[in-house]
Amino acid sequence: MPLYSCNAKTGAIPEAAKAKIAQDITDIHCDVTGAPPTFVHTFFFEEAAHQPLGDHTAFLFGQIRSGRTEEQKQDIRERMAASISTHAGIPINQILVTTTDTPASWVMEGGDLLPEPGEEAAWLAVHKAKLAAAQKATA
Amino acid sequence: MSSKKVPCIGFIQDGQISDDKQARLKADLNAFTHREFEGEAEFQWISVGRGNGFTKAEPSTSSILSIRPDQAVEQARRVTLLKEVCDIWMSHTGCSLDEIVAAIADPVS
Repeated sequence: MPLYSCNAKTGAIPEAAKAKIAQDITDIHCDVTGAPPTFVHTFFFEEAAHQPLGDHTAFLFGQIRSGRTEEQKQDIRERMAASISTHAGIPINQILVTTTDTPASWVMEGGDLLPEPGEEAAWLAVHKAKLAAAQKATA
Repeated sequence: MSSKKVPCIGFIQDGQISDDKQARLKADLNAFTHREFEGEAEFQWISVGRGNGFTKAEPSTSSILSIRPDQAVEQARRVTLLKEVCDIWMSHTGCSLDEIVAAIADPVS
């Protein structure tokens, strides 16, 4: 978490553009929120029924942790839409980007509940130490 | 037999978990939702095509499962249940703990 799910019309996002967009989505999310890149998942789909496109050519839906400000979310939406437009050549007015908030306390990643926004560094330190200890115990 | 459904939405990377393993995984998750939420697991299994999944901007091996019961879950119980879900997932798929994201959501009012 976050999970960014990008649905688009068939062929609208070239294969070669997906890695670039995923990199931008990761960079933008981390830049705006301070979250570590390891949390950021970006999945691409074409004409997927679970995420209807409506009249749009591409629809990016981000499930992010609760606690971000409206300004942060607006920044995320605008910059990610620009990235998709740049790399896929889709006019910006044909791209929809929305986000929804999910409480960190509902989500477990790597065996630990996700940290609240701003507590990522401490979480990662504890998580890495825990993984190292587990690996040592099984070695 | 209860007719209640418990939505279970999963994103899995195409080709990472065989059909046999997915069947056993679903059977155990169904037993889990029956026991904990008294309802049949209603799976929406979404396959992420090869080359279409990225985690930290690199090819992804992550699976994401969201369980949405019709009742709020007390937080200590949620943690216990999430750990069990991760154990079920690892036991059937061979995935590591770092490849699983699991969520148990409260109903949205």
